[in-house]
Amino acid sequence: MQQSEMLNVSRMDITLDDRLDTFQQISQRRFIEILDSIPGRKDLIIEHKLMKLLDCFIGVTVLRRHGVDKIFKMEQGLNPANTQRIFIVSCDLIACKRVLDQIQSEQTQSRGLSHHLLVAPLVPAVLYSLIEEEGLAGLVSVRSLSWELIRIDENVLSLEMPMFSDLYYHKDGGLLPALARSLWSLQLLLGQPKLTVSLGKYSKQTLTMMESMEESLPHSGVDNQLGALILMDRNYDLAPALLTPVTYLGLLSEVLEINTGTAVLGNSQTKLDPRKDHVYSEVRDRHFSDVFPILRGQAKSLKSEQEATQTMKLAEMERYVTTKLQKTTEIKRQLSFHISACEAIVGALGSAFEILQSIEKSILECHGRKECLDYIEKNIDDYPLRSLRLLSLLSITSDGATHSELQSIQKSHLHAHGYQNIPLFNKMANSGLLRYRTENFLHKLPNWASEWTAGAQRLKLLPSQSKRLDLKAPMCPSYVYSGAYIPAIAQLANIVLSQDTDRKSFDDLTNLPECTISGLRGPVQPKTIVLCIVGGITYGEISACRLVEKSTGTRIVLASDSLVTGNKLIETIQNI
Amino acid sequence: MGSSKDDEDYWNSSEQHSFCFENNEEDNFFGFSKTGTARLRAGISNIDLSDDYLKTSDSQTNLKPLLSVISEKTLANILEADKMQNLPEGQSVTQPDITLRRILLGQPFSLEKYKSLASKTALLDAAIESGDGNAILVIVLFLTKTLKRSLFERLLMDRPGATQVYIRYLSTRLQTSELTDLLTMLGRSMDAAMRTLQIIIKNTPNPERLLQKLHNCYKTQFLALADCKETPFIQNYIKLLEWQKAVKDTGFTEALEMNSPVMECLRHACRDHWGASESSLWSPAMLLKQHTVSLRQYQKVALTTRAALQSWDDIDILLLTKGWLGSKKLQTYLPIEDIIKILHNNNAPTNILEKYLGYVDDVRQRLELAKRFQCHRIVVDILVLQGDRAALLEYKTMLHPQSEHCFYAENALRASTTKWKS
Repeated sequence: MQQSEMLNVSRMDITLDDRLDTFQQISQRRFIEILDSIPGRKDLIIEHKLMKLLDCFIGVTVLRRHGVDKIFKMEQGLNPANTQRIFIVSCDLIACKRVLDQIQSEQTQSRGLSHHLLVAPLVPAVLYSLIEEEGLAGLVSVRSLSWELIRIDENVLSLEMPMFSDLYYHKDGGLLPALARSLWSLQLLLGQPKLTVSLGKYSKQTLTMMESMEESLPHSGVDNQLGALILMDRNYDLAPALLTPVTYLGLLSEVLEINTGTAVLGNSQTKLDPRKDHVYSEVRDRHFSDVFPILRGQAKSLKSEQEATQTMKLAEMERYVTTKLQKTTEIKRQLSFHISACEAIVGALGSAFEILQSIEKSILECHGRKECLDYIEKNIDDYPLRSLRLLSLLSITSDGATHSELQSIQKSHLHAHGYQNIPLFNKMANSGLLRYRTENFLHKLPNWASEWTAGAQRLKLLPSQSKRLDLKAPMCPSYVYSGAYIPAIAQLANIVLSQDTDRKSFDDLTNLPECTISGLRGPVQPKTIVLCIVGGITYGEISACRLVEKSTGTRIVLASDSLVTGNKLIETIQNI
Repeated sequence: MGSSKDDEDYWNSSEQHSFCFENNEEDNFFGFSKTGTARLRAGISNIDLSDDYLKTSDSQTNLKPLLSVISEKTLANILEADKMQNLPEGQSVTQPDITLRRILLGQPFSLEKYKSLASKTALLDAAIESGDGNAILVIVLFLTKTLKRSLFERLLMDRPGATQVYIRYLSTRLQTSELTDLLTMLGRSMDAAMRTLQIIIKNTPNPERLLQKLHNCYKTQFLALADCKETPFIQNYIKLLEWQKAVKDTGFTEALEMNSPVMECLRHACRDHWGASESSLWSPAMLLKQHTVSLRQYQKVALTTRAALQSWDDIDILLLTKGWLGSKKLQTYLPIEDIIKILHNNNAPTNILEKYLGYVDDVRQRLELAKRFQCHRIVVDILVLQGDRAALLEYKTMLHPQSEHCFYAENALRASTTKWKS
């Protein structure tokens, strides 16, 4: 009795953070188990794009401890030495084929080699036929290598397997089981949700897959509970992927390359981790207009600290060096990174930003169409991604653009960037990023409103413009787009969390055609919820949800297959 | 019965058109394919047997009793074995949800027991419903091997969820003809054409081969499409590659990268063939005509190129037209500040900058631009015009003392004719 009480007490001490931190170890354990099952010294040959990812949960020392001798990047002409060769490759068939070719050539060159194929995050069933076709059946052992969600930035979890083009362009849910699997383990760790909400086809299918797993996989002793789990398809709300987010993190993602939580600026890079970088934790979710004063304040206090050292007595100085200097040096490095990042942002967007924002706003409000189209065409030579995003947004918010509106823009784009891009508009249309419609005079009537607008108003995503928004102390998640738009995922969280005070909004949500709700209604308890976007979450949405977290006093965990920006989405479609 | 004539009739039945060994190249072995043999077998079992054949079964009177030859147990075993084979494929054998769950969890699974068309269909539908693309693909590939073409296609016809996944697979494996056939059969000729185009563009690095393939693709797939918006662009792509090839073959101009965009070619033409007659292949005019380049893009390229060569007169010809009484009017599709910026970036002489600043109608904007691009004389003139003595005094402090501009500002401040407002 006493003992179990003690256990309970110690379990009470386990925080959400502790639980989220276990993911890394679980991923590592799984990988090590595979390594240990293969006897002897081993060479690892890793597909380039998986390197960074593996690095998130396993390091070279651990690998060595478990029999790994050499590590290679998968490329032509590598020269492994050990007989046990482990290839780690992503589940895309072309990458797999390349590895099989390599294995084949190694097998003809020398005998007695053991080849192992670890396919991440899951083995596509069709791979077995490919191996058979290549005459390698029985000569290669195949296993899946999966990992848990990777903790990126405090409450953000990502599988780091972008699925947008798979799901929305190819309409291929081959990777959905991987997402379902990682959400299933998330549930084992955080608890069963009392309420689940899903918006869109893929979200619903993911939930069903999770249920299948629950029924057939062993699970024991999940005594925790989760307030709610909300899943939403990326295509259900595309606006946040197209608008420019104006928080520090949002703009950082627009201008710098951010790779599994590490921001790269020229030669310097920094891990975006608020637990280690206090400068970042201060400015992360602030509206950009509010960032400079904070950085200035921090620079000032650093400077006065430095000045103080000049008048220090020797003993005092010694104490300073041993206690504070290291920390100060670190803060200085962080501060200088974020200042440079701000400079990069201002340099990249600078004077053009004000106009860009007003165009985005007009597009959301379906105003000044001609002016917006002109702006898009004018910028397509020098800022193609920016223009394509705006075009996509315009076609979505106004239920489509006509052939004649798109034609001259498409032509200009092709003339500036090459006819190689001829399939681009068609690909964007197929993935839901571009909507065509036929000419319709009704759209020219003054009181015409698009279906998109009606939908957005039903969820109250377009804030009333009469209320002034204080960007420095925002109350509304729309601050991430300077008050123009509330990301649907943030609004969903708000609606679910305030069921007791605003019953009507919740009922409206229930009535949405693509919405499925199951579980208990009423006040959300415990106040921990998981939000997941299927197809990639944007940095703007992250900041917006954090505001909801603060204003409702809830812990929100954000999960997705990847973190995306508008540019990345367009580029993925471009590169298909 | 079973004569060769009947065989022919069987294969010539309404659905024979899709039966063709060549269709399944991947498992074709000396003219035999798995699907082919499966169909042959199916054909044989369909041949009717007349009642005559069954008569032998009744003439077993002189045989020894069965159980005196073999034991009961052996009989049971033999019968049991047969029973195993003849087990009806009821729910106990094919359970799509269980098979799908095994695929989902990465456990071993077998699709072979899905023999009947109904069970195959149910399995496919359950996979589509689940959304697991991984499962959909193996099942579709299983169907291609175990169903004749026409039946397979009929299944895909109203199941876009399966078609999409299969199409992706075919594109990944570059099985273009298979892909085209399938999409055309589904009535999606436009998609077929775009997919082929995409595969060609992505996988043909050699420009000459690309040209050849584009020609082919255009003729066989795009020409027949009624309202494809991309068709004219493909024609232009071909024209451009031909143009680049011709330019390259002459060899007397600086190398132009093959497969570069129209604007790049235009830059090339504006630089090296500015004066060429409009009908000559190399002239900018020819490119403009062939590709209907917008005047905005043309002016931008021409202006940048000619400014880089310091050919200021060409820029006048490009941007100015004769207005009333011999005065020159600016006719441009570019924002005036962009023009001035381009001129300034190419070190245009002050008088040129001043001339174009003169075309900025709004005085405030003109003042701002003049300040930005350091056209001091214009700044001074505007401030004098505005009678803003204080601003002029302040501006003068920023000028280099003893410079021409500084004297100009001093003179302006001294002039008695000016009415200062401050």
